[in-house]
Amino acid sequence: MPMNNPEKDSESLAQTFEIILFKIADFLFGAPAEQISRILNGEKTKPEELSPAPVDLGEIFLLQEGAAVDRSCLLEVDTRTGLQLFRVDTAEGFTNLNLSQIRKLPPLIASKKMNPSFWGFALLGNRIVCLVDLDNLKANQE
Amino acid sequence: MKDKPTVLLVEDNPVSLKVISTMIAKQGFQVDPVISGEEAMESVKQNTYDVIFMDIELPGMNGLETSKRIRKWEADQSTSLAPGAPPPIPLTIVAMTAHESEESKQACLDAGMDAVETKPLRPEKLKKLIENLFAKKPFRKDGVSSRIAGLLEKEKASLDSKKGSKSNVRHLIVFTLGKEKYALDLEHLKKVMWAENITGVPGLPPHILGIINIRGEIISVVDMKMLLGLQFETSEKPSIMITSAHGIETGLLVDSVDDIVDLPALSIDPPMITFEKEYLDFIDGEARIDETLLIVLNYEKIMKSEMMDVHKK
Repeated sequence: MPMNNPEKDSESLAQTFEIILFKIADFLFGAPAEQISRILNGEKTKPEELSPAPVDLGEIFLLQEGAAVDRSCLLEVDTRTGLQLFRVDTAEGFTNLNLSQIRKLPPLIASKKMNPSFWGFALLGNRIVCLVDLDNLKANQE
Repeated sequence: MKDKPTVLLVEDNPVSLKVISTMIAKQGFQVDPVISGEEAMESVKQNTYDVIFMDIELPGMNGLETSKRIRKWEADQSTSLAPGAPPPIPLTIVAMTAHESEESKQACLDAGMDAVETKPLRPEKLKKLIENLFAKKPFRKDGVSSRIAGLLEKEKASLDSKKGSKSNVRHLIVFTLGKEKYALDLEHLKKVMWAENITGVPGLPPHILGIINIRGEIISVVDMKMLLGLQFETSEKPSIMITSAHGIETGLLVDSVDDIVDLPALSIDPPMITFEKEYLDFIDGEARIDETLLIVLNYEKIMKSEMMDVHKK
């Protein structure tokens, strides 16, 4: 039977994870900062410099309708399958989260209809951030 | 002199204040509702109460601090009594808290409270609480204790006689959707709050509005009108009923939460209103209260329906 180790538990809770915050339409998302290699201004970057071709995260999350179709920010992400460029509206900066701020998806939200890249929520003051697994995005597209 | 025992209810959430007030009034008490610790303090100084039901998390002076100040005020009052005068009966203060931890309960007792009751406060729980409280303590007004004791005995006998026929009466929470009144079993209701700070999540079906953060817990919110296919506009200040079954909490968005009623099961008839087939399963029946039609919903069936899609992943 597993034994509780309060010291270890408190250590885990104190551990922090850095995430990047970004917006698409009015939704705030978060993903591991360590996967982000560059943040580019899509308007100032020549199309020929964009390789591989950027993927619109809004389309993957079904946010194309009614969304502020800005997507002027590009995130270069180191995924399991190599570097990938994702279009988002804005990068909102980086923040540190500890375990006590992270919640798994509640019932109803955790349904099979939900995008499989959504894996949890982070509580940032009054804001709730939808946490996404950027490694799962490509698999989701295929 | 008041002919009913009086309760001071301190609760900052106006919707909960209304629901709990109604519940306490139905137990035969007169209720003075206030929304802050400061107001509670003033009321205690100006009135005589038998019980105070005190929410812990209040803006400004919280429930713990308010209780400490009430106890200090009582002590000050006692020291100013004429020599030989009998000491006044201390106020009974019952904490209403969402926290179930021992530390939290101990903090309430340390602040001078007499009992701690975890929310939600349901009618059965309230009756039992009152029985326990007044078995230990006399009422502050002569003649009232024996009357209430009699009422409680009567109520207990009535409940005892109903054992084994549990479905005779349904305790329902009544709420409004557009121009219609609906109800579901009170046992599923945990809390009522204003509909604020709902965070959208991409890809949700239209009847699931999003999520809310309640003291660190993430809860999904369902738009009841969308769920039932009703074409009414949402009110300016809708409410969310936090409900629970089988350990799963869900917020239900409604236009307003209105009342608590006890309905004999026999008074609920099969639904006469025409509903789409897909929604019919959600409805237990309908009843009339005065001239108002009440549609009684089946919470369990709603939660198990395909539309809710719970437990599928």
